[in-house]
Amino acid sequence: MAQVEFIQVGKSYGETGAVHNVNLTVDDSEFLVLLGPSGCGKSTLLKMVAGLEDVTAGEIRIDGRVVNYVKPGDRNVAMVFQNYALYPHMTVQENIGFPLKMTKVPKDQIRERVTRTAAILGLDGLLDRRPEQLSGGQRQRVALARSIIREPAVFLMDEPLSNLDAQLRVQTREELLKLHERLQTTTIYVTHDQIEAMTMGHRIVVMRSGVVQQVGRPQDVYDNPANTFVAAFLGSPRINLQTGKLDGATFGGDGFVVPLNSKLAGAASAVTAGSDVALGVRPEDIEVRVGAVEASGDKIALDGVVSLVEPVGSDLYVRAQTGNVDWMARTEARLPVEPGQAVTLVLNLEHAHLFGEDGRNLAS
Amino acid sequence: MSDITLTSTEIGAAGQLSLSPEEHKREQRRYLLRRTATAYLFLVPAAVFFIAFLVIPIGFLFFYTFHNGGIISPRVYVGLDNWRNVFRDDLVITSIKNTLVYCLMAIPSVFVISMFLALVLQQATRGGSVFRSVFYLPTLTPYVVAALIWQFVVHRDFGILNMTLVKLGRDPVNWIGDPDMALKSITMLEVWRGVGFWTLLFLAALIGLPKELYQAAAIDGANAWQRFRHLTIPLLRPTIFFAVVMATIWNLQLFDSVSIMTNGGPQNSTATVVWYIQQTTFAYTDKVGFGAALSFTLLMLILVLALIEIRLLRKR
Amino acid sequence: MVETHFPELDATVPPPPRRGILSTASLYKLAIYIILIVAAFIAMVPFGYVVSTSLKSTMSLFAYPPDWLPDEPTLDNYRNLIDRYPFWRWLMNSAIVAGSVTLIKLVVDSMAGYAFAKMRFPGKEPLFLLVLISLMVPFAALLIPTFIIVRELGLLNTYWGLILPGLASPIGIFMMRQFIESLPSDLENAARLDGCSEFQIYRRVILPLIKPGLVVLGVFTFMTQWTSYLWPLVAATKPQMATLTVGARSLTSDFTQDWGLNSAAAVLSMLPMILVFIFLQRYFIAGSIAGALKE
Repeated sequence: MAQVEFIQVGKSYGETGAVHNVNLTVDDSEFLVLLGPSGCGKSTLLKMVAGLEDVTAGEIRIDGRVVNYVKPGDRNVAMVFQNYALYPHMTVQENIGFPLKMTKVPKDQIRERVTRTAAILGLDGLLDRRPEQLSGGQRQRVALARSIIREPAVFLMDEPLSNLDAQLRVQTREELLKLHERLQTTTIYVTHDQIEAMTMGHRIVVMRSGVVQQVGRPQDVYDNPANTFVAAFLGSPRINLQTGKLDGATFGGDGFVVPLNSKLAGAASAVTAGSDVALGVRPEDIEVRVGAVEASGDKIALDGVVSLVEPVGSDLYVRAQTGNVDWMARTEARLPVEPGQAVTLVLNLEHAHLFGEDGRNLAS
Repeated sequence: MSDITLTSTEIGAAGQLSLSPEEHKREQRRYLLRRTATAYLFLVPAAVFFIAFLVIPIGFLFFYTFHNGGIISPRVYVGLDNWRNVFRDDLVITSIKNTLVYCLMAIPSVFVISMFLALVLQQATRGGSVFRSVFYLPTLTPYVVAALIWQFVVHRDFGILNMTLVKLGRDPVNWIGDPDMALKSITMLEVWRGVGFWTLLFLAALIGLPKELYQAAAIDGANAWQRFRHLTIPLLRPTIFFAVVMATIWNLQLFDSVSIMTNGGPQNSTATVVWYIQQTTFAYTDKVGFGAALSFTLLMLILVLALIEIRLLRKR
Repeated sequence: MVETHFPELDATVPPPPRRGILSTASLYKLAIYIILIVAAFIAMVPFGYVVSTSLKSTMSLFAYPPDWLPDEPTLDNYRNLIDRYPFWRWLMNSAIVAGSVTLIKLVVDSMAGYAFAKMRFPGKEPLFLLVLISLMVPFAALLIPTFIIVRELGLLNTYWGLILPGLASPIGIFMMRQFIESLPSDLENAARLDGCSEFQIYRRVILPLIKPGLVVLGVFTFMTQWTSYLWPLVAATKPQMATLTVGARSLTSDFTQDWGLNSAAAVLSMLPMILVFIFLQRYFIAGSIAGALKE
């Protein structure tokens, strides 16, 4: 059980992405997710906690102790690697017991703890196999077993699910959460998968180019993205971002006009009239209607022409053109629309955002 | 959808560092020092031998290039005399010429034969391991033994080659006694001895190539030669690169077979650079300085040729 | 032991479709094997002729034209060799020297290779460049200085005198670095987090995983030492320190050449090497693949 603190942490050079001035505290027992595209520095940051990459600026503290200059093995952290990094020349049993063997735990104790740990992860029958004889999911569990057997203060996980097939990924996700609930070990989890981040993290940290963009509870980050990058990175299909100019209480886009509701008008007051801004509306906040609709309250009606219809089973993605821009809408699955059809787009501005010229959310 | 500049926001208030910058610097230095020390500890055992029996001898050798004598007669400083002599000596020119001619005959033949055998061996479903062992046999042969074996091949009276020639009704050839043939005979021996080594190396590289590419090429209608020319050769570039450079380095040092088979003769037609170095340093005993200067000349020659090859092969 | 079976070794290209009675596929197969057998014949014939000569009696050696096979095979030459010359002593000397150099080099070179492949330290690039350049130094050129150093150390005519210079060769360091570099870094990172010291990582993770590479380097080093001639010739002047190559060469005096005796010595001196190779052949290939020489 431990708290991990990042204070002005930076890495000026490195094989992967650099990291700039990270300030963050991971609470005891927290499950924190580092999220971002590849090369954003999230893995580097994780490896810096593990001691596999040097910290070139600031300090990392685990339970108040500065660990910048502590050997990886002495930091009391365990890591699950993307490719599991199981020792190919050892059996499952030897793999799981290896950390204990290296810390000079007596043999009979190792055997007992290996058996217990293997039981937790359902590896009982596989102890004498070698990694190459295991399926992907089993390997993943062995890697997990090897990291929990030491009862470390912090778990570090580097995209541990990315090599599993979709079904197994969902199942393992749940198991990881159950395991965390049971062990209550502080966990830092790196992923580029927003679904994993949203479902697993107590808080998520969105990173880009080595810089932390936003930290918060998943839903908060989704609902109130700090900037256009976060807004675009979370959510599928991508948020609709339309550039335009503010003109009093209206947003003038390319060939269309949206009157602002009170929330957006409040945000708009942060910048001068006539400045360049971007309006962000998520696809699920756009309704597609056939026939004319009256605007009311937060809802704005725009005329459009359908250009693409993508059924994904549970939903229907509809792309429609208004003025000179495209909107993506996520609507009910069985809506009878087809390309070329004239429709009305109903924008719900309740969860819409205005972003300034520099990309920042004007409401924040 | 238009592009939007994405910028960052500063997150989180900067906390207080618990170590002062000086403490950080000190701790970091100690940490890096320990890591460097560990690495050097791993290098020390190899370095001891490397320094004692490679670096120091090279230093000695360099020192000798400016001196005469030292083994039997007392050592005398002679300045650049040895270096000057190297470039005046006729046998130096001859030996360099012989060595280069040998390399130009041996290296291409060995590579073509080895690559061909490796390609054929790759197709053999059964008995591959037997053939691999048999092909490697000559490489495993000590030079002393290879030279003996080769005498059975090139001997004027009862060598295999001449026996075969006579049986075919042709005149026997004086394989090692004729100055025109001697270097070619040496080349034959070296090719015979070297083919197994390179065949196995090329085979290993061939087996490691991605199969999907070949399937794709076959579907695209590429014939065997086109596949070899446009897939195998480019994919094997790293291996071929390594092989050419190493073969040059090794073959420019041709010595053992020459020393045992012909001892440089007849009429210096098989005198190679290393053979001459060995002659001046050991056989003529007191020309150590000259031999040392010649050694450095060879080292430079190898370096220059290797660098030229690296340049040429890297570019393409 | 790590599984080093490479199924691809036995893989074959799918045969073209059948046509007629003698299909193109079987013609193709036939051609493949004819080429292989001819090549094998060329590789083997000189050696076979030596074996045959070693079994000939002194009388039949002078037959002209010589016979391909002995009329009455005899082991006289082998008996002669063992009775009249310290053959077993030569064999032992060769085994001790080649064995020691191989064992020491495997340890020392794999350690240095690990440092060059996976560790971060100042001076790494220049030092490795030095290793690469030293690959180009001809050993024959260093004969005199090496001789003087060994003489000054008082090691002439000792095993150490024969062994030590053989340990300087940098090719092993280069080979080991190539092998170790191809191992995924996450393995040693995992070991580091599991509490291993660098030496424990080397001993418990790296070494077991580069076994194929160790076999390649081992066979290569043993072969080089077993066949080495020049250095033992100058460093071991006493007959009881002679290695097989030097001993076998001493059978040829300036006046006579006993072909039968020479051949028997040749056969016996090659036998251990061949056995070692046949035994390790599979690993040798697998190792060469694993280390697939990269730039």
